[in-house]
Amino acid sequence: MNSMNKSPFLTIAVPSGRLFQPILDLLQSTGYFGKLEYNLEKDRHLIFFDQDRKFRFIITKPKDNPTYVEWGVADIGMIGKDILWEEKKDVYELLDLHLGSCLLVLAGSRSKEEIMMSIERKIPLRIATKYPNISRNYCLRKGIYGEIITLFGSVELAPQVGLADVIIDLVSTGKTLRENNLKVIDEIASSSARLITNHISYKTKHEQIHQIVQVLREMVEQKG
Amino acid sequence: MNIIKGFQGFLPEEVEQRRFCEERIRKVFESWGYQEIDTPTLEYFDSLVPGIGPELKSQVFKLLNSEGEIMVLRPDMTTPIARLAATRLASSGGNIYKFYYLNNIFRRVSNQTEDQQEFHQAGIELIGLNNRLADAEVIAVAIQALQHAGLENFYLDIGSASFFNSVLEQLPLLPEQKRTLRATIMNKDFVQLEWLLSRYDLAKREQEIILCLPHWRGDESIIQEAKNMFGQSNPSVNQALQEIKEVYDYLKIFGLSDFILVDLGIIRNFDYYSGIVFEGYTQYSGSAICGGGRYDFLCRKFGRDLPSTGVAIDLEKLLPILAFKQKTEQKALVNNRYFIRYREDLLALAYCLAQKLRNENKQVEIELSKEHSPEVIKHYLKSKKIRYLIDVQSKDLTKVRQYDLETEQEEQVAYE
Repeated sequence: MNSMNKSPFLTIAVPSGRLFQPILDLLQSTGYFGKLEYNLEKDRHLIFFDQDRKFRFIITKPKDNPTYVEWGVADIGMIGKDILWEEKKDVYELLDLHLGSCLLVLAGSRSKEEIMMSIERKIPLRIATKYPNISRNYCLRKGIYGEIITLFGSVELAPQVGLADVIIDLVSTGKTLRENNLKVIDEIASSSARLITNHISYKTKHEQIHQIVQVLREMVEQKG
Repeated sequence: MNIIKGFQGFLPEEVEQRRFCEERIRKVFESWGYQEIDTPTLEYFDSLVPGIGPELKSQVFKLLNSEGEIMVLRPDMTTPIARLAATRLASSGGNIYKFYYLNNIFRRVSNQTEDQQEFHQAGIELIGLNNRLADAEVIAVAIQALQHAGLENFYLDIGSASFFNSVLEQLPLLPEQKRTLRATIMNKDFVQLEWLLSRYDLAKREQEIILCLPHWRGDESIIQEAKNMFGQSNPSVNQALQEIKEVYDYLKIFGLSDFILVDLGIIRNFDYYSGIVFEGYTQYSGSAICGGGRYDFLCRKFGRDLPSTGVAIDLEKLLPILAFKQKTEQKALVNNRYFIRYREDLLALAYCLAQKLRNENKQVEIELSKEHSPEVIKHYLKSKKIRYLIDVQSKDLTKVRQYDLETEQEEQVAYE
């Protein structure tokens, strides 16, 4: 089946940001990808290769990662499940990498009881979030009359200055929430990094991608 | 000026590229005996809705008429053709209908990456037959259409819509669990799938069968392997595999097996597929360029039992892959294009000459304004890829000055 793979290398989309180093370490630890050298702090080029030039790595903004894969300019990608929920791209989700695990939560400065009460009374709940689609679905599912305010970052600020009643955001340690006097009201879902692939690449480069799934799966299971 | 998002206007060069491709595909369809069919752009929601599954339903453009009834823009061609076939065709039994279409369809795509909402499709429907030769013919026509459009290095994967259902049916699960599994597979979320399977009460072997599904892909030997693995205990799985094998064998007879791979994990999003399904792709495009399959129960939903199969080629997916090649072909001036200038009192003569050339299937333009400089005219001729400039300066049509823009030579030509 590899006969139809005319391009010399497999293209792998890696997200910049907090997942970058853990993903690179995971890839490195398998030994399958050879030596990978890239310093997110210093290097500015967005494309790099392994030493044997068998793989091409592209560095994407986290949110854009599945877009590159959906269009097939990257054969595989690695990205948090939260982004996949939010962006709803047409990609195959192959493996949970168990990296960057965190919770998607509804949090606010008022007590859980107070918030629940106003939800029950159908008082509009103003929600600040980086995840408008997830938030809309959550409100629909829970019957919350929500007003969604989309922000690009530092969402914790919004309830403190009166922009929103609550936030929907990712939490890993909970430190940021505590320091901003926010308490978890509801746990919406848990998220971790996933291996994704383009539908057609999965056909045309199946053997190679299947092998990558196997080596990564072994490594992930070893780490427990 | 605002235009509606996802609806695009096309300039002559863009239309020319699509038409070029469409005409070649049309010739192939007609050479196999398919006849063109057309359906209304707008239909009542109620008259199409029996055939539209939930996936497509959410993408349909809805409008209201003055009576408050809901109308929809056709979201695909297969459903309206099935409605037309079930309601309008002669009801004598045993008839076979071969239809083709070159048409636009409309879908509200929520996906942000695909801004487009109006699409152009070329396709065929073979109505009234349920056998594997009919399935193979549709695939063969699709291959030939793509070839004639100028596509190279492409493949078609064939699978079966009933294969996965049959595997699923056999599992000792609650109906709701089966629904969840199906939805998860449709979402292509194999992480969730694995998690679900580990929670359900299933034997290890059964879990593996489902998880392996996307890997069942390759040449025809896959069919036998799958038979050995699932077949013995499940007659409907066996039948699905047998069908794939038969189609494959027919395509071998047609000499097309080099284009074909078997993919038991094909997931096609429309609910109406009931048997053989397939999709075509190249490594140059991140999504399938054509797809289709058997839909034996769609016409029944509109009142008549007509087993059918068909294929649709997405021209928006196909054209960008062909574009580069066509551009180089289209640079050349077109041999049968003419432009006629004339001395002001000789318009009647110039007009006669133009009509005569037009009757000889040439494309002829007459100068419409005398106020343009020679440079402007030259530029215009180039942009229209016109090869010949005729200058009518005397009443004597046996000695007409004709300039060839390709050779940059002037010659004297005798016209009657």
